[in-house]
Amino acid sequence: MESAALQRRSDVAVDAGGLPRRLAVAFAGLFRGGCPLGMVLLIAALGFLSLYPMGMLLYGSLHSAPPGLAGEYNLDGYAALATTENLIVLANTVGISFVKTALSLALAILLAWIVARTDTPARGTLEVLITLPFFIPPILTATAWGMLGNAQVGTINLVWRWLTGVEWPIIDVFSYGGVIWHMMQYSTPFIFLFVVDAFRAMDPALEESSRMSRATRGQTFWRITFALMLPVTTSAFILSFIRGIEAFESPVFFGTPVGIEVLTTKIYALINHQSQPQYQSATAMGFAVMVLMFLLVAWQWRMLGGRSFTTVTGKGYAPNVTQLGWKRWITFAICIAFFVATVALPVGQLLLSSFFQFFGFYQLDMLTLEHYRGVWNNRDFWAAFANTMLLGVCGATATMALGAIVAYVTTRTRWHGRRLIDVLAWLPWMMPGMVLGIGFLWGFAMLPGGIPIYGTLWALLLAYIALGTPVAVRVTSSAYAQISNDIEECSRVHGASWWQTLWRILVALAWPAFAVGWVLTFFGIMRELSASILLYAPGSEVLSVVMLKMWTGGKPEEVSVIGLFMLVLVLLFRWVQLRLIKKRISTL
Amino acid sequence: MPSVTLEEIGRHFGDVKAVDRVNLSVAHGEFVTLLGPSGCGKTTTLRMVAGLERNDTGRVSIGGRVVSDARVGLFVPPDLRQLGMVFQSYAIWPHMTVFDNVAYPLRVRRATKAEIRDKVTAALRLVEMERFADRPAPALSGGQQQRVAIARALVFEPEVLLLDEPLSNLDARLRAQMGDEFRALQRRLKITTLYVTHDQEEAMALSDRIVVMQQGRILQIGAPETVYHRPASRAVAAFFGTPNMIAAKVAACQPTDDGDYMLAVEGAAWQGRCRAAERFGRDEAVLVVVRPENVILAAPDTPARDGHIAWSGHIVDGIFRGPHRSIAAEAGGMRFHIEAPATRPVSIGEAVTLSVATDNVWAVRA
Repeated sequence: MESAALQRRSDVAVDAGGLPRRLAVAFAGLFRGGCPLGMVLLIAALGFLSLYPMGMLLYGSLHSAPPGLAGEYNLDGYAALATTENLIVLANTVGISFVKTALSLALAILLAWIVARTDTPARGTLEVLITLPFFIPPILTATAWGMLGNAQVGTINLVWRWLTGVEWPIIDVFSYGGVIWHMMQYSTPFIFLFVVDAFRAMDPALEESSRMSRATRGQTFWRITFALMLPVTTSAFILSFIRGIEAFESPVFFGTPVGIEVLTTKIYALINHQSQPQYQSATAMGFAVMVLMFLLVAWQWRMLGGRSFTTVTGKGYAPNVTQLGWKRWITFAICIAFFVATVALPVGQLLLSSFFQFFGFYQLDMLTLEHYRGVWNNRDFWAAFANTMLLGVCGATATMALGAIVAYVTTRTRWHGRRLIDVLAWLPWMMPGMVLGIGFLWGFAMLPGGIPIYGTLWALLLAYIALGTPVAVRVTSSAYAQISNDIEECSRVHGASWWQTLWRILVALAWPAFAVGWVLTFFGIMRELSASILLYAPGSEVLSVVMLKMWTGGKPEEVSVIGLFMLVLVLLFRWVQLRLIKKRISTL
Repeated sequence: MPSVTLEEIGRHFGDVKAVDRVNLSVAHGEFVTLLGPSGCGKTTTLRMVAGLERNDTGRVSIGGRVVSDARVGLFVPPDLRQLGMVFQSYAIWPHMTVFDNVAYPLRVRRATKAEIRDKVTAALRLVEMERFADRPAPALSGGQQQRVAIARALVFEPEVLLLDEPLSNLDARLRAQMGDEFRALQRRLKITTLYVTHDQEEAMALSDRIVVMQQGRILQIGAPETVYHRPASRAVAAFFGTPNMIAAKVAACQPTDDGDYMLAVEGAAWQGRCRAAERFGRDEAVLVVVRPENVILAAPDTPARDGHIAWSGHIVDGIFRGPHRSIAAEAGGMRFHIEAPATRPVSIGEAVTLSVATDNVWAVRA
């Protein structure tokens, strides 16, 4: 202790510049050399974001009255879970997620192989197109597909009937297939991002030596390429499966209207669609989901030894490229077809329905700009837009700041409690937004009256920070990991103080990663629906909530306008992000 | 006044003593190398001098100023120790140009623009890199990065220069060249240098003194010739090259005029005389150290000359290595490594007499 104090004093003596500098040094001192105050604050903040809602979830599941009211403690909530109906809900959840993950995996491997390992034309562009759906808020494509694949008036069915003259519809998205298809539009690019790097990061000599041992191309693919990628594929599979269980948009749009319920929509229904909200049952189910997620995550860790986010990285090899000949136009067509189905069709549909009086009735005399005017004059929309932007900017900044500090403590210090901090920051990862939402619902209601968080934007902000922190920590810690310790120590030895080193070396080198992480977190907040739908109150609606409300309120045309508006924002941010990544690669 | 003084410094990781009570004094302008296998504590010692690692015991002084004293809890952080350091990975900051890298130590010291320009240019000229000042750092080869790292470490005229295996990432030819250049530079600037390496040849070629370390302890400190020809122990002898170590028993021991001892030793089927640094009693077990390059091959049954120890045997293997030929021979139940001129023809099974002069035989405690 004494020595730490001495050390700090000597630093302060040197840096006795202006007040900001001294404040900065004091702030730095909080996080250094085992000085406990900063760590205690950090642990308290992380605990409030993860342990607190988890604890409240357990508390609420045992409490008979809604949040904030007096009640008694019993196990009724859990008793109510044991019904045949809920068993079907569970089977639906697991089954849908499993099927969509398996199908997405197969498709993603095919697409990744095409992009990374064949001479298909315009592969760079194709890669951007294939990963694009991942960045489009699911609620946007959900509304679009609701209009594309409606059995009666869906555009695809209209075209189909017009082409063939038959009466029956070719697709109906309000079905198991629809839920799965909509989920696949997100999980395929997600898995693709993992697998394509694995395809690229592979040393071509590994395959060449297999070929030299007289293995055919096919044998080499299965026994070497695929086998080497198995850890990455497994990890992508499990992650995608977990995300499938957490998914809310796809089932609430395409499952709920036809009675297909999954865990997340069931929880939502228990709170929202009952004459009297069943808080206890919903909370108990939320807790059960959390336990299920915990088991899944434990399974994932066992399989992957804890490297939950790692893909194959390392040297950039020039991978083997298969010459496809004329067949490369087939592979090109496959990629384009995927893009058309996941982006072009939904966006086209939004455009189409935004200009017609009623979607499904496309006649020239129905053309109108009324919906644009309607949205333009809609005060709720502008309020929600302002809320979303405010939450997005503040939330992404706060999340990245927290993530950067947590990552710094866990990767760059030898402080004894760093594992605890790592785990705390990561806990929200295994809580679906819906479950975290209920946890916070109880948590905010239980706060002393002097802290009125519930029903304000703060409620949403805190939930977004909690949900975003795990990813922010991974992004920043992998950026730190690329900066060797030597580089920091070298700066210290050559006369830079701790704070100067942090600023001139670590931040200067890691800022592109911060920026990329910021955009990712911003996307996450913009698309978030399942926690928002529980935590919003009149006045604190966000865009996704307004869209869902308008959709269920029967205004798909105006929803299309808002969707297009969001899409423009997404494309803008995605473009900036790609520019940043490119710049970073060219300078490093 | 010595430039660097280490008194009883130690560093523990749990129960493992990475560095155990090391004492060392480096004189002003001296080039001292810490040499040892990986994990011997040499890098940890260097890092404690730099202030990147805290010493758990003992005291570190630089230029007469105590910078770390574990007993009273004094610890000066690295940025206030006025040191230059070259890292094994060079640690060239990838987001800066060559000029910015070298200017960094001056900038954080708030030097004036003119001073920065003059000093950086001078430092870059010193390592012959002035033409590359505007290059982005990642666009440099390994050797160039190393020069930049040295320029950066010298630019603010530090009290002491620390180098952590700076040549180990270079290929063999460049390593020798950079080593020679660096030695010349150090002699010219007369800067106190503490150097860490696991490469014995590098250590011998560069240093004024070598500190041989093993398992956190110092085994021997001495000039390169001393640690090579007069090792203090079996471990030090074994660290340099592949010496022949022959078990023997002391028959007699006499002090010589130059402070050494002359031993009469007896082996399994041989006897002779050799030198040692310490007094041995009669019948004490010793190891006789014979360097491969000191073994003379002669025709079979050549009588031993005065002051030579001789063994009869035959050649079992010969490998041409360019500058010399490595020969393995069996004699008296032992296997000898011999380095002979490359021109000496070798036939397997050839009977030979191996002999070595008394002055080239050194005895250490078994």
